[in-house]
Amino acid sequence: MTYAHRLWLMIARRTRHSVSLFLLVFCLSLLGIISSYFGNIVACYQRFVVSDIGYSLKLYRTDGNAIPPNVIQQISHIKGVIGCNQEANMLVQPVNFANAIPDSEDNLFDIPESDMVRLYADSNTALNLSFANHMELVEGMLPADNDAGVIIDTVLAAKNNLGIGNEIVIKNPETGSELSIPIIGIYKAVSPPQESWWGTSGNIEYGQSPYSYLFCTIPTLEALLEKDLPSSAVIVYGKDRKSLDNISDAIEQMGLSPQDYQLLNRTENQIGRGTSASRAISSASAVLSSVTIFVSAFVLLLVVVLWMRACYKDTAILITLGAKRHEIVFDYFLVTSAISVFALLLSLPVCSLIINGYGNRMIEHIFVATGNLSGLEIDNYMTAALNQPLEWTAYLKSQFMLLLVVWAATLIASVNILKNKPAKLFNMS
Amino acid sequence: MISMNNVCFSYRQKRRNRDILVDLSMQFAPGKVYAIYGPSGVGKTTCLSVLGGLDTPTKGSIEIDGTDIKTIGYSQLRKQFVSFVFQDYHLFPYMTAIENVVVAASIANKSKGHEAKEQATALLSSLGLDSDTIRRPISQISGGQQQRTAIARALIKNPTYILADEPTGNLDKENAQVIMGILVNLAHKQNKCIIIATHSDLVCAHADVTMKMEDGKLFVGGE
Repeated sequence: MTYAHRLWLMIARRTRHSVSLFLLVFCLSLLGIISSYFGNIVACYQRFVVSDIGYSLKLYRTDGNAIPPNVIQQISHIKGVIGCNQEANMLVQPVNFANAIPDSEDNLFDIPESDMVRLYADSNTALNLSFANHMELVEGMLPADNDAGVIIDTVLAAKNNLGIGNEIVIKNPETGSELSIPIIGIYKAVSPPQESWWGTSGNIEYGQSPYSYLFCTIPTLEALLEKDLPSSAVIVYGKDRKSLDNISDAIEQMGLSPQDYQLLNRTENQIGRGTSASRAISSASAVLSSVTIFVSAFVLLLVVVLWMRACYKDTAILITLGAKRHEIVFDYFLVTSAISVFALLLSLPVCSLIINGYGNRMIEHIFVATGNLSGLEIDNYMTAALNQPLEWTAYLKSQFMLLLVVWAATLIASVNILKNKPAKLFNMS
Repeated sequence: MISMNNVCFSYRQKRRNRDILVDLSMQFAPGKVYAIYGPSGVGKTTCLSVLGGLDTPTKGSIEIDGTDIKTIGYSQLRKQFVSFVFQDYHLFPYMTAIENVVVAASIANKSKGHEAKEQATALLSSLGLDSDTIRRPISQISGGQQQRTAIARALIKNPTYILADEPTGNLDKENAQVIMGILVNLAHKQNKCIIIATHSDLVCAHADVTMKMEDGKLFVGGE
């Protein structure tokens, strides 16, 4: 009889104990994974918000006048401020080039028919999060100061045989005016830009072509619009969520008139908009986590201890046969681990089926149960978060926690058993 | 030869030390059956536990062929030199008879796999268990068959010393006779040293040496 065979007999022939431990670990694993799934949605939602708008404040004048450059200068020097940017964008019509649209035949993209491109105008393109979070410059330079110039995507450039030094012509669809702009840089998208989300069939869907983003300066856009854009608003970027509070306090202490200036925390405002939905999911995640932790801490511990109580006689026999105590503890570790790991592994595909099949329905039930269904604002970020694929690392973490509880319970129970002499263990069994 | 040298064993009970074995010195030689008898609670089982290294004497030493069992190591002692047979058999209830025997060989690293299985089958067969019985779960065989399985388990390691605690206590007279016959045979034909703690006159009648345990001491009753 091999060692493995002996352990297998302990598992397979003590069916009642093995099955009870298996079922409990399996159910707890399901709870843990579903809890992680909900937690993941909330985390994804916040991550998408931050990826899109960053940790940013918006300072704007209520009277529509321009913010004086010295105020922007002053804000730039506040501790925690990464930089200030003035941003605007509009859809424009390509004139001497064609928009590049991903090949939808490969089933990766589902893009509305569009020949429009989006022109982003910034005082500092590097701070524009559509650029900063999703793209990297591969050639040339970023638009800066008052220089006229635009940077375009590599795919768009390749499709139209465009390069640095060429000029593109774009048309304002509202006024019909055209503008010729030199290309000063080429960028490459490293991740899907903001106007994209995971489709229900698992593919990436775009609101517009991911290759259609053009970046230029504010004066370039003003030239296209044939009017000045009043710089009545500035986006202030902070390094993290916490720094925004300090920056807000510092701006308020600058003595700007509250009648003329308003300060908006864009990050909190956006996260706050999705609060009712994310709070409901977050609560569900917390409840499931609590149940999982409580049940695993007490019931799982109890079941493992009871499982081990059935081992009193085994332990005494093994000692009389000459097995060392640490070898016996190791045997029990292997047996409980084998049952638990099997349950945990089996719970993964089952959970995947449940989440893929009923994930959205579960979310709906949560919304109904929390009475928030009518009041929920499920924005694009939440929609994208709800459609996020499973993040297995988070789930494996919750499973490892369960395994730790099983190991701790096995250790406690084993030590408790082994402190008794065989004669006592025989009497106790 | 296994010898007890001035062995004392006591434990605390109700804030008092209770002496079980008092300055006990005795030698047990292979080839003989020893029966230790005396009233319940006198310390017969403790005496076997101390001999088998399941309990540690508070004073004195146990030696096997002149080597202290502490030097041998308690685990090694039970793997190599000493086997136990109990009144309640104490077999793994979820295993078959043959599995119970093979597992002992595997723990003692005596033999593994097919060889162990063959040895176990031969042993069980020599103790009167047929091939059908040895493949049945322990719960489905009789007390006498279980005790024979326990003896086979004790023998598979080929130990010199077999410590049996009331081995016939749960058996009827006929089965008790058979088991005692087996144990006597083991001592006389295979040169094993069988030490039995018992209440039974039948066991004492089969023993080569009977010892009465009284006040923590052993008194040899005759050879």
